[in-house]
Amino acid sequence: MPGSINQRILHVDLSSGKTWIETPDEGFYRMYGGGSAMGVVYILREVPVGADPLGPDNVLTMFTGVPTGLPISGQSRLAINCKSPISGAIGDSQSGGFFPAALKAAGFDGIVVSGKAPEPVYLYLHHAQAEIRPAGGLWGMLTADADEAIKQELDDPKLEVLGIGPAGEKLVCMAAIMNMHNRANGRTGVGAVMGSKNLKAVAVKSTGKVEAANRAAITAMQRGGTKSIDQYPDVKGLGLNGTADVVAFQNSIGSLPTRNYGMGSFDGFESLCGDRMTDTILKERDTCYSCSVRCKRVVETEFMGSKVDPTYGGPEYETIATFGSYCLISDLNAVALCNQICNAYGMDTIATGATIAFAMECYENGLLTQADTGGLDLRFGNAEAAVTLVEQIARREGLGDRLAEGSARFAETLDARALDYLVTIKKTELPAHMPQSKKSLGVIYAVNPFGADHQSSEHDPMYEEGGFPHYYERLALLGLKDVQQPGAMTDEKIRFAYLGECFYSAMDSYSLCQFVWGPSWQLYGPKEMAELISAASGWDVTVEEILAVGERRLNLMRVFNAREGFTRAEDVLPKRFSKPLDGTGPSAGVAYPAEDLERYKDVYYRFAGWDPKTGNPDPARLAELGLAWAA
Amino acid sequence: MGCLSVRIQVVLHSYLREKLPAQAKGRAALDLPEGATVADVFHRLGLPEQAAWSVNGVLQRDLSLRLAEGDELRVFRQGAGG
Repeated sequence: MPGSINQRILHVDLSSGKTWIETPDEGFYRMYGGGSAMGVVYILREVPVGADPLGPDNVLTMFTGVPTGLPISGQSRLAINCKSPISGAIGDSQSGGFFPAALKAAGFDGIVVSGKAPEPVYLYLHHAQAEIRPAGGLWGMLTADADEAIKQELDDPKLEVLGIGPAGEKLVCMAAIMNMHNRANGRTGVGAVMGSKNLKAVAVKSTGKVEAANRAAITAMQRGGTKSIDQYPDVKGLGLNGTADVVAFQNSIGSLPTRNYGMGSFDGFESLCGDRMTDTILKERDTCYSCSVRCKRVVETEFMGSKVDPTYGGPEYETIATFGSYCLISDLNAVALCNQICNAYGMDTIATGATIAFAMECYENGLLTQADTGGLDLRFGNAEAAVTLVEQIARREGLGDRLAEGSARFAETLDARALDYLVTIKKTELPAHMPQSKKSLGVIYAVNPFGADHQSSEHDPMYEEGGFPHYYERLALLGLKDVQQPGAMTDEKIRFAYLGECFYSAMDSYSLCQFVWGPSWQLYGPKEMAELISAASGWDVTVEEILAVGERRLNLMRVFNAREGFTRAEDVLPKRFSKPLDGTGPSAGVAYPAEDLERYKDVYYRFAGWDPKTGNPDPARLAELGLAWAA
Repeated sequence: MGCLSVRIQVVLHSYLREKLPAQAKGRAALDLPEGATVADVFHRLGLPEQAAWSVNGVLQRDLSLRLAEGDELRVFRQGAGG
């Protein structure tokens, strides 16, 4: 067995109750890296075309990557994939925590779940074995309660538990899969798919140790990285104030979505800043397995008489934006409570907050009345109404039952004017970085196979003048040596977006944290990433090989989408982006016209080697990548 | 620079708050000679030129910008993540 991989993939057919172990050869791991790319391989092989995402034919995959479980920062990540119940396209979501490293140490590189259990069940993995156990008593429990109940049932407080809350059980479209009840595989509705399979949780006992081909090299990299955190200001900022450290900067450049993406700067931003959280409600900093960066937050406060329990962690930047500036709410305590409810019931904070912001704009424009809201005054800024609505969505009660379908499907039930306010791509709500301010990111939002994602490429400012030298030294390793003027949108910027997307795609395949590893500002750059994969596996991996792994994942995802009927026509930005932004700040008055995007897409598809008419992968390029089987 | 002074407010975000005493929580009133520029403040506080900054809420790039009485200079980590 080479290096850090187990060469063991667990297959679970919940319909028959059978489990079996697949033992792929080493070449399979080198080709795909693990993580999301590997998951999509199984989804392409096993999910029939046109399958109901919430039916037994969908497949839910959970994969670690080659370096997962080794004692170095930013490696404990889990990719979860399936056909998305929100978009009908490929679904994809990543999380950190301790579960990914424990899964690897229990003897599994990944899990492929098919079918549907007749009754609620959970999986118990230990000593490279798997048990399917009844979960009827756990059904309906909040995530932390289910976590504790499983530990008590198995009499092991050290288990790592990943699972769904009541939202996933009720097939809420934005349901997440949680681990540690505060780490979320949140995006694209993966929690609803897990719920549709009657699978409540996966409990893992870490019974082994992940070995590296060159352990001394891993140790040296970890020591060096930990000592040098202070030399990387962006990483240091994440450690000090969490991901919300970027609130002030985002606001300053007009990239903080405000009032349902109608504006780019928020007057109330200051009370939502990461350093304000540090000064007020922060209880402690938290981290993932073996990570020195410590970007996770634990908060303790209250709102509306409800305590915010530290067990559910604390809000990330995205959560602060969607429940804060999107909804014109400047009370950090309210945001923290919304975050807690999402984590307890198991819901994606991005989709949930963004859907509530959309409902608020519909209400203010008369498309929803108090008869629809059950008396809730859904004007922007009403924090109490937002908290109430989060709970209603999680429980599918009142208006929440309609919103639980996501904002795109909800819009279909309203007057056609609602489409003017809808902010989705491939029916998936947008995260909190604005294309009006980051133009090349807008291209990635449009073309990304699973809808807009802020963690699928490097952002514009990193390839613009004014940054730290290490940004440019590292990007040069990807062939990006023509640093752009601030705000420029050129073919070179699109090449930057595409190559950055390939690199991020590789990180989601090797399952690496994008706040620790990456192509520019992170603690470790491309050179170190090649060294890590080499030291973990014993292979001689180059940056070019890493980019090819990322390109394979993107192509496989687009192949999946193509067979489901997706084309270039779905690679679009929301209708409202064609109108200038309101408000104040540097992005006020700025639009992102649809005709501009079409020009950018022509350039992007050329770099990707995709058919410019359909936006779909070219069979010849697939063959070059070793993916002829998928054509 | 003249001998008169102007008072400005400085707000530092992220790791840049460490340039001021901890109890200041990133905020300080600075007295500067008339005609002082943003570069003068960066030099005085030891701020890196790669930081992003705004004056009275407007993002700027020219460090030779002169500061006036009552101005608010806000300095950010120019970054990604989140």
